[in-house]
Amino acid sequence: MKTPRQILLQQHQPATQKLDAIRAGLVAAMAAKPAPETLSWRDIARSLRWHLAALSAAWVVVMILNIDHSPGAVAMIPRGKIPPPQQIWASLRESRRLLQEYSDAPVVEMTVVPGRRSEIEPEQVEV
Amino acid sequence: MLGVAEPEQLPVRQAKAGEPEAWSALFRRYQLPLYVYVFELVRDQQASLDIVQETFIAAVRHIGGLREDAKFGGWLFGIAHQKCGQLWRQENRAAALREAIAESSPVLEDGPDELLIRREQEEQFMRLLNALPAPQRSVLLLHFLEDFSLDQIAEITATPLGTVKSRLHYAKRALRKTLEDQCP
Repeated sequence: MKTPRQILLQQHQPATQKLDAIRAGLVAAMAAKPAPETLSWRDIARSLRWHLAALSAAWVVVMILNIDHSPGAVAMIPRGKIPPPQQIWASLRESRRLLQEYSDAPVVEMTVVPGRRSEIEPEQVEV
Repeated sequence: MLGVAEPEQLPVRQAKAGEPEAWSALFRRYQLPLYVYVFELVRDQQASLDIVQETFIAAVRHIGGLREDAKFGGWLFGIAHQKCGQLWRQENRAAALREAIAESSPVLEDGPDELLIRREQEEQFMRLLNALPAPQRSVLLLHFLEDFSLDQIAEITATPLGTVKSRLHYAKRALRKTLEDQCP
């Protein structure tokens, strides 16, 4: 004579192996729960690599857009405002005379105005 | 094998602390009764094994919500019962099936509480159990397998106490009558 419980458990006894496998799997998974990881700077940088790459790309774009393609400041001066060479030379001569007056040195008058460089003949050029 | 009514020391407190050995002991204690209960309700071996596994996983996750350690067994069967209900709803055929079986189920005389079954009656017992409507079968299985009290069965199946009493009464009557008819 058996109780209903005994009959029921006996009827399903063959399932025990599969149930044991399920139990073992669950317990193994619980036992193998990973320990909390400590993050190094390298790990943090690696995790942010896509963000850093995107930021770098954005900065490159900003730099490209900010490159000044216009001519330099010297070239910006209008040609019409440049004084002629004779006037520059006269101004320079006056400055030298004033300087020599202050230093009591004899004033040497420069009577010859040098010509344009393009007008100098090749044999006059001293190397 | 021990029943819930018998005093037994279950390592529920250690399981709450996350000790794998404690969980192993609890699973070993309940795996077969739980499987029997689920199988007799869903009638599918693979689905039953899946439900037992899901029940254990849910138990590990939600053990913190168990207030009384002594109620671990009922709590575990309650989880399994809910999962069986989910499966029935998924299959969307439970209601029709249960009603069909209920109509063909005999309602007979009551008898003594203790029930012992002869070897030649075992097959008949299993056949009758299978023929019972799922709600009655569920109550009867919880009563036979773990000797849960009516209150506990009501809690596990989320059913009013009066309904549980009625279902258990009719299920046992049907069972006894069939066994008596076969072996007078």
